Amino acid sequence: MSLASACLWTLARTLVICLVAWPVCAAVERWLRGLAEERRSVALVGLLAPFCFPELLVGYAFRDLAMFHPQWAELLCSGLLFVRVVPVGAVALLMAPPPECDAAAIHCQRMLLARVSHPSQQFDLWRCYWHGPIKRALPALGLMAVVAFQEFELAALLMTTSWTDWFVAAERVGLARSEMLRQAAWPLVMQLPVLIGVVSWLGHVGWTPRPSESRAEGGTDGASILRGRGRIVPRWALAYVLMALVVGCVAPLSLLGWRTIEGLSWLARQRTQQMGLLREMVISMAVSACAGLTAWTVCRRVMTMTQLAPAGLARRGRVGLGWVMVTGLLPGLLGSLLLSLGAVTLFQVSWLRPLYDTPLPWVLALTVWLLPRAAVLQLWLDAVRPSEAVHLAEMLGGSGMSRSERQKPPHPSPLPAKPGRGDKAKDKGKTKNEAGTMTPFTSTLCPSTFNPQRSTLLWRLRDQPQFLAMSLLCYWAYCDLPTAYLLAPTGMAPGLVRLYNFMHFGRSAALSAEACLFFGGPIVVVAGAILVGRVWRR
Amino acid sequence: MTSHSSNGRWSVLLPVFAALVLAGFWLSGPSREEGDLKSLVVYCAHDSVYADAILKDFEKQSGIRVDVRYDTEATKSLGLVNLIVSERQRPRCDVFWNNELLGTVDLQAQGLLEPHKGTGWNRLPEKYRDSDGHWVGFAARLRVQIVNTREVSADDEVVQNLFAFEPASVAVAKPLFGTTLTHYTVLWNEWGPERLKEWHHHLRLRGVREVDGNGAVKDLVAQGVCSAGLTDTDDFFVALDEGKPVEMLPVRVLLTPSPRPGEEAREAENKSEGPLTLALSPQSRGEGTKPKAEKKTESKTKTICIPNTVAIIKGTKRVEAARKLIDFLASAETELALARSKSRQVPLGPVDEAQLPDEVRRLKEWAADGVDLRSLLPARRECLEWLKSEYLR
Repeated sequence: MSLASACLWTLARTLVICLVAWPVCAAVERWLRGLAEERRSVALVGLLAPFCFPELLVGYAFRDLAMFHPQWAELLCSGLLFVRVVPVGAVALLMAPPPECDAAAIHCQRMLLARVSHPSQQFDLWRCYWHGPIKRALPALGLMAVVAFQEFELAALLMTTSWTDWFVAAERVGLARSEMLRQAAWPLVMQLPVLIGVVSWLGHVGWTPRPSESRAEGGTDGASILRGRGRIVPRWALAYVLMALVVGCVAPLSLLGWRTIEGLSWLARQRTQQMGLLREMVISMAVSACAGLTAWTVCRRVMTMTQLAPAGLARRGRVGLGWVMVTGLLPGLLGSLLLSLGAVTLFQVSWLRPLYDTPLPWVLALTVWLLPRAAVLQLWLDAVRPSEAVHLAEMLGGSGMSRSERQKPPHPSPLPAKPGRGDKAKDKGKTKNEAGTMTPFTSTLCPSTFNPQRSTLLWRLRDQPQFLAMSLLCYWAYCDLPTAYLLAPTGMAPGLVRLYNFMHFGRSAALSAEACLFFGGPIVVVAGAILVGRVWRR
Repeated sequence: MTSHSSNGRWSVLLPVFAALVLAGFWLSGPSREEGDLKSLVVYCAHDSVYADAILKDFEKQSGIRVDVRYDTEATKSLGLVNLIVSERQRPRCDVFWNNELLGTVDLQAQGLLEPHKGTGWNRLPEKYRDSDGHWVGFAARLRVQIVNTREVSADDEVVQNLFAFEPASVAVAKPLFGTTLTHYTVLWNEWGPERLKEWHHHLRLRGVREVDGNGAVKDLVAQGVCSAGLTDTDDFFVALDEGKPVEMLPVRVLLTPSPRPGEEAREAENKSEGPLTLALSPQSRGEGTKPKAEKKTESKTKTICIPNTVAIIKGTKRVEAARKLIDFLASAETELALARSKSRQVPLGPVDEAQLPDEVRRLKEWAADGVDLRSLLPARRECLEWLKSEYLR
């Protein structure tokens, strides 16, 4: 199959998945908004679990099914992709700013249209739709499309058509670099409009109200308008989340599980195998920690820098700075495969070649790939963080904040300084940052003493979500295959490539055990770190 | 220090710590010092399941540390060949252990291999080594037809009929990579491009199951999804060891001798039989149902016996250590170890026959009829170009 055909096939699959997944996303988002804060956190974990579950493991678990029933392979792949894109769409909707034109406005426009049926009124109604639900939906659909279009491991293991698979084959048969770059234009062109949309959305999402605020607006959000008058029963959304958990996490685990125990007992007797696996895990963890935390820090610094730009800087300058930031996210949105192929080419250039056999290209490619994800996670954290509670907790019995910290707003927003809707500071020509300078006055009034309750509160309200977000970022890096097999230096064989290699031989007890240990290891480490932190704070 | 600022510090300190760990692993990896004799970088296209044990033995015996880079199953060997080519200005690989031959010959043709005529080279037959010592072949696999005996009988004619009339019940690996590419190269050379293309298109049009690799072919046949397929002996033995109802028959290719007077008409008749009778084992046509494997081989047919090959990469500064590894891999001990491993590879040089498993003795007879692959590089290049146009354009 030619690349063009593979791209078109992938595009068709992406479109179908996004269109089918969209109503589900809207229902799930509405259900999430209706939940109380604590329940929403649990629901979000359940919703995001299938997205965060390693695709390699999912593909491996369902590979036999796809191989023995090839007529179902495409459907299976699409179904599994569906389960992965719905959380992305739902969370993106949850983060999306409220529409400029809400349900009430559309209702009024409709009523007007019933009385005065003039073509201009009809046009106004469509404008309302555009500035309301459609504009709100597009970024979420764009993100879903990016995730579905860039799929690699699932498509490869389930042996379905995908442009990513074409590139791997082309790279391996030694297609000339110039030809590869020429061919890369296909997926690039197909993704570009979506990528630009997503990036511009990232630039604007800083005005996102927290879900609690949005909830206060009740049914006036765009999603509800898209749904028309039909009422989505929250039970359906709950049923979907449960079903997705079963398909995306429980089923793969149980498909592997019955052989895992047998494999673990075998592994327990193989000392060399254990040490090899441990070494591979430590290397992968170190690389992913390096890349994940660097991406997080860079993203946070740049966002803060954009926000804390000198007051003297013109508005155009601030917006420009913001756009520089979001343009930096663009390569990451191309997907790890194209990015890794680019990195291989780049580090073959004569003056960079000394660095080729080092971990640097690997870490660098992963960092760039993670940047957009880091941005989304940070924006989301900023959006859902209970700012008043955090602020109060910060004031509770301690004031050890540094000066620079005091100057930070309670919830730094990543935007190029455009004031948000309903922000009073806007009317006075102030930024949020300026409004946030009240913090030092209150904090300096408090004695600087260690307060365990304050520490626990801050951990739960502010640090734990951040820690989990960073862990998630690192885990994505840990599970990324293209960067690992294209860029890992000699002597630092990543376990992921070995496992992927063995997965093509079919299922075995030993492989199931190793895969479970490899993918479960980091989760145990993170859980352990949280437990240790809890004990330490006591 | 507040926990906010501690968070900020953590997000800086942790990557630094992780970077230090990485640097530690990198520095403890293969020595980057030129002329260091105590370590080697090996690119290995052979399955790590089998190669690991052999290389560990070498480490123990020689005290030379070996760092291996394996390839993925789906793209065996070709990926590493291209990697070596792309690194030609600054090679990081010292020794290339390929699981087939033609990729290594390609590297030799590009002047990327260093000659070495050591003890291993001396003990192996002419057909499986380069006359100048640029590479040496050892421990071979054969291309075989794997048959699910619950679905069909392990009969050459039956399998040929499946290929001709029911390709949908047959599985083959994509011929872009690995030993399937070698298989296609042999057919390209012996049948000629037109006949191979016709056969290939016939199979695809009639719905042959085309999968990622030989392992997947084995799975499909072993599970009874397909009745037969083309794979390698090592994959067949995986299925056999799992207790699957499988049997194998060697792939035999009709050689095309240069036509002598009086034979041209017969050859033309053979060629006019069309795609449906393009058999892999041409003798099966009307020659009874006895499996070809059990017959005395006829002079006109050849099996496809694909040796592992090993070579030193030009530009390596660890020539001495590399030579030691080559002699070790091409030794009778390694051939015996690979013959007795689960992959049951066929020793090509003289070994103690008594130590060989029965299955390998049977394979050795088939391997004796193996086609000489050394001269097939031009055919491989042409065939690969055609395959690229089929699959990638």
